[in-house]
Amino acid sequence: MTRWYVRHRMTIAGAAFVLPALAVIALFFLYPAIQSFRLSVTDWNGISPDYRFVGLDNFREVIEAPQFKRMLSNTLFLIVLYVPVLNAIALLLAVVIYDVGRLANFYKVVLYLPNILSMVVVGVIWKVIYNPVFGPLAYLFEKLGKPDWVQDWIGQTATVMPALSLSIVWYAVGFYLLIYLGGLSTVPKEIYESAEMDGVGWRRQLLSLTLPMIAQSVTINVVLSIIGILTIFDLPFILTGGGPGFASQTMAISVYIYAFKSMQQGHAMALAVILTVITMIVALALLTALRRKEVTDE
Amino acid sequence: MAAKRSKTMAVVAMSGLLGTVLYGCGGNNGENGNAAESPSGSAPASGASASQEPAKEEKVTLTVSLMSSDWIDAAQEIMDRFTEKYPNIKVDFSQVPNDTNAEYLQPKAAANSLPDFMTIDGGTFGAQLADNGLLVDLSDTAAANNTIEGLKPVFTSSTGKLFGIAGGLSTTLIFYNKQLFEKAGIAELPQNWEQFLAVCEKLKAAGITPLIVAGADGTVNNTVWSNGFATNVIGKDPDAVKKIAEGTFNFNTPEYADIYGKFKTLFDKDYLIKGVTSLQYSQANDEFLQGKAAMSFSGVWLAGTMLSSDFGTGVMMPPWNVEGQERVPVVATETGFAVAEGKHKDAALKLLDFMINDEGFYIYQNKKGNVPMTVNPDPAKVKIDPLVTSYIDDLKSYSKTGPLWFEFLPSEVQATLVQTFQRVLTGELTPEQAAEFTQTTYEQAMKK
Amino acid sequence: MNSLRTARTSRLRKPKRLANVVMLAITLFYLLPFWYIANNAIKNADEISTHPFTLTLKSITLDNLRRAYAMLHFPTAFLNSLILLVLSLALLVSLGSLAAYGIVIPRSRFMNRLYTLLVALISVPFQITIVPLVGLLKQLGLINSFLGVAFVYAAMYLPFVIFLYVGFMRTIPRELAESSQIDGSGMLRTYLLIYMPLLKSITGIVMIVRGVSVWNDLLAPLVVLYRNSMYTLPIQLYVFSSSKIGQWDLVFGGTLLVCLPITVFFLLMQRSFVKGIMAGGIKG
Repeated sequence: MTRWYVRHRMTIAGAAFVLPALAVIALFFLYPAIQSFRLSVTDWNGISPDYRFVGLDNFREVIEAPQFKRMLSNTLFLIVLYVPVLNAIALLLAVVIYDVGRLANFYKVVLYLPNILSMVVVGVIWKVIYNPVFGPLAYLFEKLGKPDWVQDWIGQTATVMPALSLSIVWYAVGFYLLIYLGGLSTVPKEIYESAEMDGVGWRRQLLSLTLPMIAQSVTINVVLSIIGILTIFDLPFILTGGGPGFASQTMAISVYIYAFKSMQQGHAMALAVILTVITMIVALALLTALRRKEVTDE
Repeated sequence: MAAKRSKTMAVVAMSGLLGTVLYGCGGNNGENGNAAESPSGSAPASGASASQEPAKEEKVTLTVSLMSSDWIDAAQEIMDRFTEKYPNIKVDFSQVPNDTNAEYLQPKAAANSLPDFMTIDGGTFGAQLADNGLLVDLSDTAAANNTIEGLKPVFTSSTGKLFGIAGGLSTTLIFYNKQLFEKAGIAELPQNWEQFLAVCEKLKAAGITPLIVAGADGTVNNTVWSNGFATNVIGKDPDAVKKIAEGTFNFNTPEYADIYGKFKTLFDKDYLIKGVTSLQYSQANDEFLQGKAAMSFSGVWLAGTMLSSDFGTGVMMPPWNVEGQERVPVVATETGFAVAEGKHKDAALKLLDFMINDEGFYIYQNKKGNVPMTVNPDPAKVKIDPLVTSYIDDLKSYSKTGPLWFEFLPSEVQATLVQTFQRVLTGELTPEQAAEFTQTTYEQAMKK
Repeated sequence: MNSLRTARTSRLRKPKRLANVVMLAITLFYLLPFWYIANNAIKNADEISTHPFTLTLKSITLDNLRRAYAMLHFPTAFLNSLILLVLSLALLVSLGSLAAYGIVIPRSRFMNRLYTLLVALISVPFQITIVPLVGLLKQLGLINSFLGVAFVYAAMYLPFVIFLYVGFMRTIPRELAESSQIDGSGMLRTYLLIYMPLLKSITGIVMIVRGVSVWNDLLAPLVVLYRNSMYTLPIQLYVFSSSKIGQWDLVFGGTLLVCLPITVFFLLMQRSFVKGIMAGGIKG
């Protein structure tokens, strides 16, 4: 009887602690978000006080628009290619840096540095880098005697997504690298020593030993990088604007265009709802799957 | 060490909080008074600033937001001179990043808190703001009376309100590098499409890239689209713009498709600079000024920058009419200015007057080197290159002219223009499909 | 930590030297864009487009920096960015750690469910809230107020911050809290006296990771603030970096000035920061 009362009292006290944060989130995030969801079933143009309820028309039109298919395939590209590649690169770098000696800290700092720049600045820089007429990449290829390698990397449908992804990797990898380094430091060295004595190659060590032991870091990184890449806006917008055509259009960019270029707020909100749902589903699915893997591999 | 750092943090935090409280107080007090004006009952132009009694010395703070990235210094100077002239008016002047005017203004419009004086384009966005009672009707102002009549329609809403004053007269043209033309042995400027292609071929043969067009932003709309529309569509049907507003226009026609077709032809023949589909305005200008190509399709708004090159720049009217087709130049407005309804509108109207009829205008014009929109500018104070003046004079001899894209297209169609060009260039769409797609978008937009 | 690492030098069968060579090449690739900004920021305007990567003695000028400094209204903008940063971080750290405490201590299913809900919010993109947000702020009288923007950031980032704090707090042994409560202090006193001092490292991470996001953010201040005297650094920079006539000397000069404070701050704090994030990777 007493214990139940005590625990009950603790929950209430705990609630008091949570309340201020919840209030702020509810007021400044949930409330406008709900209003946006409401707007997604109207034809509001952003300015006039009257609008009509149009049911699911906005959703239908957004899905039927020609860019939607491309947006989905870009999203798929980002989830299936970009996220694994990003994590693989971050992990490999972590593994290399871990044993690299005195310069380790220097490497960590340099690789993290891009992340403290504003995404707008990063976009501007890479736009210049990729310029086929006077950009440094073009210059480099010409000096190396390979002028046909010089292309309009961010102006061709085939090359724009990889080019964009490269710039995002440059920007983001430092963060995930540090998380993996942290995870690596928890792996006891004895495991590797016995593996070495058994003659296990470093590749298999990495896959079968290291990876399962840093499962927690993998989970965090994968989930965070997926959420990050699905909602990223500034960098791709500045770098490619979603182009050429719709080749690099992401849902986040499209929401912006609907809202501020075509003045179709209802459509913008509808797409935002779709984006939110997709992001939540994918993130939660991965989280559960990876959490389960963490436990089973213990 | 840690303790010291947290102490410093505490101090910083405290001073931050203190500073904010002070700022916060100031911010709320000075908030512009655009509160709750009923959307329907907006007063007609109250007014010519002349009616303001000079004796009334109440202090006013105007919020001014201009999209002036291309004339930053001039804008600041104008504000300084204005406040010198009217010591009881303070100006809180912020500059809006280029191309973000709509997203800058729209949330504020929705919350009924627009800046007192702002940049506005001719076209649907401004018209909507006006029809919702957010902008002052400028029809009876001295500024309006001093503006060329032909530049008013696109700044007039469907209910007849003049919601903005144009910032200049705009036209498209092709700048060409005289040195490179000489090098390729081009003696005469092309007068039609076929001759234009021939000139491009000659340039290409001499190892020179013929043409630069920025294909990744609104520039391609300003130039290729507007010019093509004027020549192909308006040349055939002078009522096209009216029909578009009424919802009876058909984009799915061969002449409309040809706008894309011509551009694609240039692309396929390799007459366009490398990287066209990802090229943005400022990089395009850089490339021309560095002599990377012989021609740059742009407009008179750039005259100041382009004509100051060291290789000698000439101008030509875009000769993209086929032989025998009438040429229809683009004569349109530059981004202009508007005044918001609200407590400070009288002071804001004074600023408008200063910008159009007074000193402010010349500061603005001199920096931009553009074509004035005013009826009788003082020729001694205006700075225009004589090339431009003679070009504009030529324009007067054309009976038919076309507008710029953003002045009359519905916003839904506007948003698709650049992408459609890119999709045609990458081969995703044929020009005919592009026309069809535009028509579908248009029909959807007009359904509302 | 150190001993673990040196003992493991032979874990990888790659020779250390090769690894270092590779890493140095990579860091070169990483530093090149920074060099690109830095060298153009102190170069004559005409040389910028023609020689973007080389810096010669005669092309050096501090003029770009001077002009950019004035154009950016640097002192004011810097102060504004700082005020916004301090406010936002104060809200995030205080509300976030309190909330995490309230979630972790009572072992209740209700709290866990609430926590899951909060974590789900991390995946909701901020863009959907902009337009109604401005209307809301106007109603609350928070337009043109740093507090308004700070609340927006707080709402946006609290889910993530709470997530970090909860993860960290779960590693603190419960006995600490329980023994303090047996001694009679309420939850609040336990929190203030016992938990808070332990949260230093995680708070450091929160402050840097979210601090960087707030410092660099463009959209929220652009939409909420429109008095020039309140503009933050990113907005001022964006104004002339979006110019159509490519004033590259201003753009690069301005970029250098805007990036410099945060780069310097980061370099000073990097040791604890790097350690902190790595610690986060361990605890999950």
